[in-house]
Amino acid sequence: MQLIEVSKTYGVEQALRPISFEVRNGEFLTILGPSGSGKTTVLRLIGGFTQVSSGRIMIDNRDITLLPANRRPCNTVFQDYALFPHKTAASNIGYGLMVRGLRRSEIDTKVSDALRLVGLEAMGNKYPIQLSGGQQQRIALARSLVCEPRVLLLDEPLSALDADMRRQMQQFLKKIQRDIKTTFILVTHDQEEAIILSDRIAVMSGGKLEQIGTPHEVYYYPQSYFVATFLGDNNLMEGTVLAGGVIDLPIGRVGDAGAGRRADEKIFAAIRPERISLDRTAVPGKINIASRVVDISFTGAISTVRIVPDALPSQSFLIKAMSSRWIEGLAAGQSIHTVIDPADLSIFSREAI
Amino acid sequence: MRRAFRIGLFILVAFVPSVFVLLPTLAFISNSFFDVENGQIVVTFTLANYVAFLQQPEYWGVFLNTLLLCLQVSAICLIFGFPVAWFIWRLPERLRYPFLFIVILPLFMSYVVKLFAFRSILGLNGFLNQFLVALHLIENPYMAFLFSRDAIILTQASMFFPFMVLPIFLSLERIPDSLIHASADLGASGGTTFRKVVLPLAMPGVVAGLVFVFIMALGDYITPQMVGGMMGHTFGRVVWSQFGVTFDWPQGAAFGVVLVVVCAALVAGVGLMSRQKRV
Repeated sequence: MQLIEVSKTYGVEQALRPISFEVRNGEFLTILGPSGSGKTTVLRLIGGFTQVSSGRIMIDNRDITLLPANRRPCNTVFQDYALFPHKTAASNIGYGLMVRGLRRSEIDTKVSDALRLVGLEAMGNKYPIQLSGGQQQRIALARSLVCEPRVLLLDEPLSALDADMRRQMQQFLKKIQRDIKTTFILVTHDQEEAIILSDRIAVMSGGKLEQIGTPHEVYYYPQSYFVATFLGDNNLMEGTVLAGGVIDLPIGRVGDAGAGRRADEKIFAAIRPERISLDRTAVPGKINIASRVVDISFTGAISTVRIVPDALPSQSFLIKAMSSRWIEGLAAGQSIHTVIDPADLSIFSREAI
Repeated sequence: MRRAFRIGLFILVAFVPSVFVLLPTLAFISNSFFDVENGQIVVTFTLANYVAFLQQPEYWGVFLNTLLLCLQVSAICLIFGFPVAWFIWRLPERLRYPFLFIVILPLFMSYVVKLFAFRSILGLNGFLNQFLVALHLIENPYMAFLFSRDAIILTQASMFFPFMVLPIFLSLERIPDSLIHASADLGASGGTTFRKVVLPLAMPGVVAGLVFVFIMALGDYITPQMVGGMMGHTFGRVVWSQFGVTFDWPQGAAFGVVLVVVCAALVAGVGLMSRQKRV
């Protein structure tokens, strides 16, 4: 599927600025962002529940931009499940098939297969009001999947569930997607969910697509300030590009990191807390910063250590490390070497677009 | 001390419903078993009033005819009321309540004033006749718009119209948008969504509207008097004449009890049916 320069304006408000990206066949794509980022708008545009203000949407090279929702090869799992309260679970699941005009016997077979797929074989005769939240959600999922859509759209499907149910459903969704190999597009504000479930994540903010990539790419190599700070904690340094692709950072000069950028470009360098290590002595081949421990926080398996470089009293770094005896034994005020591998630095522009 | 306070509070709260509802109801029920002799009410126990109702065609015949008339009024209200309720529901949010208000506006007007208005609209020189003649749909003004059974149906249907629109609108409004989206998402056209999703979910409102209009039409004895003329004789007028003409209050009370029993049975029946449907 491709979105080409798709935008959406409601009156004077531009909910979505022109956005373009591709979705690959069979992938699990998550659109991640805070409220108001436009992520739900994208989903509604793909599903056909609103019309684009500009741009085109293609599936299998077919332009579906002007198709109404009921003719698109997509099915949606809604945030409130949207199960028909006056129909049984089985009747809900069979609805799309009934609309399509399939024979009663065929519908019954497919419905029982779908119920088995989501593990609710005995619940066919129950009404939605008799089912728990998790069960309703699985019926909603079955209802969409039984229509064998080209793309399955999921609108924050797990947000109404408690933590345990959420984790279970995350595993369940991932497994189902792997088994049936349908393209899934899931919208969420939960970063952990996005990282666990997706093949790729599209991060959105303020109606704009910030970055799209694998969870690993997006997490360790953010390409914008928003992406760097939205997913988990990050350490950020301001720097400038010098001639020859060398980057000038407060902690020193790093060669090659600025390759391809123009001289004088203002940049951020980001490095994740778990990618910084601490050592008693300097480690050759890496950037070593003589620093002082400011505080240590024990949070179970992981400990958080905050350090201040001796040469840069105004900058502090957050480090996350497994709670080894040595880490636990660190004391505030202790001198230590902070070790950074330049390859772990993610460089992106600091200039306003 | 607390006990006494609670009892006192209960009596205070129960006072109004008891005095203004329960007691009058008991009074007229007991009256239905009394008799009349020489224009005086005799306190006794007799079923003669009820027997009279069942035996005389002027009574039970008119009653059945009236039931039919009220059914017709309800049906007409439904046929016109549902599309109006649906139309208002489909309007953008900010237009809904203004339009609803327009539908309800007539309820703020005096009942009797509205009746006079209808008399003049339906009359020989009234608006309806003038309108039809101007459009050349009829040659001469038509007499029987007023003072006929049809006049009663038309007038009652118009007056009770808001009571059909409101419950239907309310049950439509309760349908979450996501259900409509879901139906479309699963491939249903607008028509299919209406038949399979909207209509079933609007049924409670439809039933409520039908019951409201039916019962109100059944109890309405003024409209038949004002616009019914000689042909529009309804049970309401029969009851009224017991109190205003023949002065046979026990008989009138018996008729009243019959009306109450029928209405109560209707509401109970509907309630039972809807409890079966909802799980």
